[in-house]
Formats: sequence, C-alpha cells, structure tokens
Amino acid sequence: MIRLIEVSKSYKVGRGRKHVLRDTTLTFERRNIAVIGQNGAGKSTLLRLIAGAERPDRGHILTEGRVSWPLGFAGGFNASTTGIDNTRFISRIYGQDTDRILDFVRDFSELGAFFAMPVATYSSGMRARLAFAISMAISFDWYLVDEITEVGDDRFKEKCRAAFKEKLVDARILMVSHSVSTLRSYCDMAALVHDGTVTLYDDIEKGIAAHKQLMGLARSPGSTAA
Amino acid sequence: MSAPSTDIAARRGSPLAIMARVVAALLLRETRVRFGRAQIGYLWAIIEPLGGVLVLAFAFQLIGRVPDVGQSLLLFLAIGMLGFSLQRRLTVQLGNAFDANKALLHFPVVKRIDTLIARSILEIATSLLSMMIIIAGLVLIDGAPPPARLDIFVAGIAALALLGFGLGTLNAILNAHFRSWRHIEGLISRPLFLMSGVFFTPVMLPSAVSDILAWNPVLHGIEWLRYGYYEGYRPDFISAEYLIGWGLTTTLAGLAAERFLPPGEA
Repeated sequence: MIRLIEVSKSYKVGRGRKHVLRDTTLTFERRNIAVIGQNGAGKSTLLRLIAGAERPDRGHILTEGRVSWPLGFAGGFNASTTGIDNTRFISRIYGQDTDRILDFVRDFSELGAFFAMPVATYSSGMRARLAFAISMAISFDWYLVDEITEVGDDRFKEKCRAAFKEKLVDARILMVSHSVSTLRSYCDMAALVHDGTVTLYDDIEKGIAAHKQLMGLARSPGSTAA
Repeated sequence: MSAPSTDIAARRGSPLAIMARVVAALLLRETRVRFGRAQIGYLWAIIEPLGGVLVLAFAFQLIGRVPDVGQSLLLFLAIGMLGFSLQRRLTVQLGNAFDANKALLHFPVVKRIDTLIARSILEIATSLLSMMIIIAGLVLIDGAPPPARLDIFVAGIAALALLGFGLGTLNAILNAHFRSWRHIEGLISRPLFLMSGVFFTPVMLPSAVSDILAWNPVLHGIEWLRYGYYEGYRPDFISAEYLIGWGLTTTLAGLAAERFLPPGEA
C-alpha cells in the first residue's frame, strides 16, 4: 500500500509554477497501476516522489515495503567504474547479498567480458541491459517503471518480460508508458494525473477512456466553448 | 502470497541502518575511484602535505629564517600544513560531493547527506594517517619532540575538522545553487593559505596585523595545534570558542540548508 497524505508538489517553469499535486490525499492499493496523463502532467514526478527521489513541498508519503528506484533510466551508473563495481554498489545500498546479485546480473545481462569493463565503454543497449538485470536481481515490493525501453533482440525482450512477470507474482507495479498496449498487458487499474489531481480508476479501460477524452479536449480548445 | 507488512518493514531496515549501509557503500566506492586499485594512490594522498612542507622549508633555508616555535623547522611547518590541509581538503572535497555523486543520487536510498558523511570519513581518516606518519617520521628522523599535550592537540584537530565539515557542507549547497560560486570560492580561499599561520605565528607579528588575522578561524586552529604540541607555548590570543563557534555555525547552517532548501539545479 502506498499513501499520499495532503501532498503538494510544484516546480518552476519559466516564470510560472507547474503544480503536479495540489493537496492530494489518496491510497494506492496493492494492484498493478498504470499512471497516465498528458505530457508534462507530472507522471514521472509522481513516481519520483513515491520512490523518495524527490521530496514533496508539503505532506507525507507512506510506503509499505521496498520500493524500487524509477526503472527505465540507465543514469545511475558511475561510468568510470566497471559493471561489476556498479552492481556491487547498488547491491550494497539495498542491503543485498552481493555475491548472489553479481551471479544473477552476470548471467542475465549477457554482457560477457564487458561486465568487468568500465561502464563508459558500454553501448546504450548494454547499459540498459545492465540496469534491467540489476533491477530484476533485487526483490522489490513495488516496481516503479518509467518508460522502460525494451532492449536487445526479440529473445532478450522475451526474457525481460518473463522475468518481470515472475516478479509480479509477489510484487506490484506502478507504470508510466506511452504504449497503451504495454500498460494493458501489465496493469489492471489506472491513475490519471491531470491539473494537480490524481484520479483513480478501478478499471484501466475507464481510465484510458477518460485520458483520451482529456487529450481530445486539449487538442481542440475551441470546441469546449459553448 | 503477500508478506505481512511487519516482515516487509524489517527487511527494509531502520532509517539509520539504511544510512549506515549507504555510507559504507559510498566509502568503499570513493576509496576505489579516488585512489585507484593500486595502494600507491592512497600513499600519495598521505604524503602529499609533505611536498608542501619541503618546498616551504627550502624557501626558509634560502632566506635563513628559523621556526617561530621549537627547534625543528620541518616540524613547525608540518603542523601548520597538516592542520591547514585537513580543513581545506574537507571544504573542497565536500564542496564537490553532490556533483561527483550525481549519478548515484538517482537512487532514492542515497541521500545527499550520505555523500557528505562518506567523504568526511575518508578525508579525516586520510588526514589523520598523514599526520601520524609525517609527525612520527620527523620525531624519528629529525629529532623533533613528540606532542606535549596530546589531548589538546587532538581537540584542535577535531575543531578544525568540524570547521572543514561546516564550510564544506555550505560549499556543496552553494555549488548546487549558484553556478559561479566555485569561482568566487576559489578567489576567497586563495589568500587563506597565507593568512592561516601555516608558516608563521601571529605572536611574531605587529599587533595591527595579528588583530586583523585573528578574524580567521583557521589561524586559531593551527595555533591551537601548536599550543597542544609545544611544551610551554601559549599564544594568548587563541580562542577555542571562536573556532568552535565558526564550526558549529557553519555546520548548522549547512545542514539546515541541505534539509530545507530544494536541491538546486546549478
């Protein structure tokens, strides 16, 4: 369960302020939740708040269980050190058995000899593979997924999907994605972020429909004038 | 299927346990990144202040100056240099802590304060080792005396470390908020080496000059070290309260800014 209690968050945009959350109180039950909303509505910020990567301006966020970092970026690596050293570091900060994590990541990432090379020498695909392998090695209760890019060939993609589905037997997911089919395949409910509020939809299809309606309104502002 | 929530909470660990874990991981990584795999890297960091001491000693020999206190010129300069570099290295290294750890701060369990603590431990440990090796070397080779009042000497080190931590934390915050701060800081700190009593004692200066220099807290720290080290040396203007006041004020201001200001984007 994740609870937001009277949470407000805004940030500066040019001269004005963009409000992502205005005094929001809500509870995410242990479900697989699609986070939807227009570009810039604050979907990523919501994930970063829940992850604890950002502090709310006001209010509290309570999380039960171990929450992942927002998966999907490969920016958390120190490029001058090796894949092994980076894996060790992440494993240590999450209090994991380092040897077990190293074995899993070496095997899953399929980096071969590159695993012992500085991350600076990796292609972006290799970095993404390393990042994904590490996030699969550590067991989280909540996976926060922000536009995860599928990497590798079809076989590797299939391996990633299978690993994720296996995790989701016990864990739950909060997912941001532009791909509605990806959201449908992982999630069964939706959280629509719009204009400083978050609306929960028990049925993901209702959430997607509401989102599409908002997009339609946004595209033709003239049509709302009655 | 779902684990009871108490079990999950236990697995996550208390905030203090998480912090200890993260600081330990940062410490291991910093050591490796900074000093490399070869131990020679660490050895360099330890004997680095000795280079400055030797250059100053050479200059003193050229102009025929004798140390203001004690018989050993090298010891006199080493105490000044070691005290100065303890404070200065903390200020500089903490100042870069957020920037150097930017990638790691993407992980929510890593807090900015953790990077400051890890760097402080590393810097203080390196400085202490450096002091012990250099001073022991001078006692053995140069016939310098051992510290007369070790407790006072160690207290002086602690006060200088506190000042370094406070200034370093402020430095890190200012770097995060103002792009041009690092240039300004460089400008302000450049004369600091000359004004901190590394190679002189204010006792030997005209009071018009020493009264002005007395505003510099680092000078109080270095004189404090000499007061602890040399038998019978008691410069009357040292104020422990002044130095500790600086240390506490900068530390509190830095930590408050870290806690309450937004992260900053400079």
